[in-house]
Amino acid sequence: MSEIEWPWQYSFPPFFTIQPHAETKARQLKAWHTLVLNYFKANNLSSLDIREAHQSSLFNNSSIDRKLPPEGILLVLEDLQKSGNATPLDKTRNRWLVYWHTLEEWAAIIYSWAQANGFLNTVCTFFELVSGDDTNEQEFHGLDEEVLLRAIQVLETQKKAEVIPIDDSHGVKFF
Amino acid sequence: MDRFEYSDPRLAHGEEFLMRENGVKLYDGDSKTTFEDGELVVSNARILWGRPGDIPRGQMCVCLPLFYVVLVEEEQRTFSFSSSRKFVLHLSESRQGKPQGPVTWSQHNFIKISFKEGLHNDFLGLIQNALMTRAWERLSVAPPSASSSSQNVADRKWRSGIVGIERKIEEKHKATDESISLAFQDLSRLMNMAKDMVAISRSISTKIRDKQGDITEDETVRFKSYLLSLGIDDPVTRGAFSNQTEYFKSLAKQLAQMLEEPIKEVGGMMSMADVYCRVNRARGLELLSPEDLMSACRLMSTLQLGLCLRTFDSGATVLQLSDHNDRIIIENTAVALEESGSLSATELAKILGISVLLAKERLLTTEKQGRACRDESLEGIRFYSNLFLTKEE
Amino acid sequence: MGALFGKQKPKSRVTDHDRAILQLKQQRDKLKVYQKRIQGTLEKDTELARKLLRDGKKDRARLILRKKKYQEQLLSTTDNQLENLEKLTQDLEFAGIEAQVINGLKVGSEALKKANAVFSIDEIERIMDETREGVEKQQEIDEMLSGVLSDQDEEDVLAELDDIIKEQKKETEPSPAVPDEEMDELPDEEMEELPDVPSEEPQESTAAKKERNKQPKEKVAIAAS
Repeated sequence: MSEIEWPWQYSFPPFFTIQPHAETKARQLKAWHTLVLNYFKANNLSSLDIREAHQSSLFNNSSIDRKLPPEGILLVLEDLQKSGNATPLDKTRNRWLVYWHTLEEWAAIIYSWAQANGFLNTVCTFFELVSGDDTNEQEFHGLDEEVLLRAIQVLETQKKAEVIPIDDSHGVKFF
Repeated sequence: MDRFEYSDPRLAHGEEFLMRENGVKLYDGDSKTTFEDGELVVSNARILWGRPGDIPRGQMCVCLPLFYVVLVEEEQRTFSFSSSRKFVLHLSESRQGKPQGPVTWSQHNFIKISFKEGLHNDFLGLIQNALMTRAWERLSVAPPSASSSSQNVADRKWRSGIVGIERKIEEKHKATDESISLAFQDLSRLMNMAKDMVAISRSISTKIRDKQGDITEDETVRFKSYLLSLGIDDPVTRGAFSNQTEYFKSLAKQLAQMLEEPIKEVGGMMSMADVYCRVNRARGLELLSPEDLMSACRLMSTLQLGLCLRTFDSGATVLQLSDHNDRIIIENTAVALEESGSLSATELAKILGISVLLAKERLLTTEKQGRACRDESLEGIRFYSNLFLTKEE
Repeated sequence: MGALFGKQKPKSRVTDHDRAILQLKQQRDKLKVYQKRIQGTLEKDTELARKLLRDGKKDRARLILRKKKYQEQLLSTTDNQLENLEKLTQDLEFAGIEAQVINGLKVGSEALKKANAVFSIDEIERIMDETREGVEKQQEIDEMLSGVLSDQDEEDVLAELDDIIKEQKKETEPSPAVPDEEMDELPDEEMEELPDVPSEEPQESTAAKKERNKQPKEKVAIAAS
């Protein structure tokens, strides 16, 4: 777990209490929004379970002995959902998928890479995209396959790709 | 003779005709009665005597239910020159609630029947038979005598089981109703008496008021407190609207005068609990009820007495100086937060020398304005300067 | 197209050709994963061989090295084959190369199976084992490998083995042979007492090293014969 540079709010105890004042709350959530995405990007994480969130230092700052309560975490996630950076994985809304680029952004990044490297009208396995040697320099290298799937699905709706299920994974054809 | 009843000669269902004789005379004990020369009809349940022709016509006659008969014997004639035979019928106690008869009371426990025109039937035998068969027990003429009661009661129960239970319940209800109305009778009596007392006290209070001028309110107050201690609700303020507001108005004036200094001392605001305690401590004897205090305080702002009632979002109610300015308070609180970084309500209370409740209200008001933010933890709530809004990103 | 029928699923633009290539790619992906794993264990295997040699189990050490060689070979062969196939499929008509594709797939999966069979670390540990099980396992693997490696491969294996032995000798030799000198190396003044050493004080440490270097070489000459 690489430690990112924590923002000043992280050491400010009120940061871990959801503020009742509307404007204050908006600022607070904005700070959480940025922090969560940075943290996830730096540690290459893609999913989160609210019930186990306190195990990570993201929502639990032991040095000031403060934790963001589960209701607060849910609020932060819903805020991320609104901006297109998170989506719940089940009805109970305990498990979430979080991506520092929105799905549309990921879709665009991947497609432009495919275009630039002559992968249009060819097929690739998901494995190739995220773990292949060709994509080492790419932002999406190491991306969670769940997120990748959803990003490709965005491309599907744009008629720029098609998902091909194979065994327990997927392939994609770019057009 | 008092065992006889007026009766309908028509035979009941199941009642059998046994014999008839004419020229029959009835004796009450040994004494003659007016019942002579009549027709006697005997059935297996009753002995009927009526004026000649009455019985056949179905008209009212007198009857002796056979269950009264304990013993029948013929009287021994001393002289055999008369052809009339006399029989003695010994009778049991007259039963309660027996239908009306020709004679209400008789000292004798036996009657005699004489057959002037001769006896053509075996009267004795027939009667004795009838007594043995006790046919009346199977008919509706049965008496509630102890010996036969068990069988009767059983019959009755068997016949009217559910109906009997229902009747019992009904009776119970009736009994309860009665007792309740009895009880209420007492209450209404009590209320009537109270009405009198109320009238008296009213007249007294009007008299007092008429007698004196301004000091009336105080005296009235005292009087009211006496009545209160008696347990009678304040009759003076009830109904008379003008009286009520006048009372509260002057009370408000009094309180405002009394409280202005103390409220200033504690920073311009005092919780109602504090006000209540101080006021009653000062008054000593003529204590104010919380409701009266509230009513008086509510009038204060309209009367422009320098104080007014204020309720916070959290529900806390305080009395504060009219010229109390929230903005200044918020400013002061914000500065205090900046100086000490963070404060809890208790800490602020200590610093300012005010109650914890008021300190908390100050912090909450400051937070509402966006000048403070909160930190909730197991130790309680602390407030910080609102760096979210003030710090440059 | 979709507009006409609303809910109807749009026709797939993925051909069977595409699917075949995708399958090949998937196999390549799996092979790549295995390659990476094997690379990770190369160091371990070499270390294992060293340990076995230290324990005097030369045969077993050789076995490990042979196994290693075999795996590498297997994977690189298969990889090449698949790459070729991929190129083929992209150039030619699908129908014509269907048979080749199926074959290619077969080869690939067989290679994977074989690699898997020899790959298990538990098995390797059992080779270390002195018990009968260990011996049996060794024989089993021996049989599997016999005839698979070329002569050149076998030579390479032996060469590697020798290298390791040399390394070990360098480390192990000084301690039992020259205990006195080792002890005397510590106090500086006493260096002059050593027989063969040109006693120049500032060059003590290097001198000591030279001495050490001289002796093992002689001994290696003896061992080789």
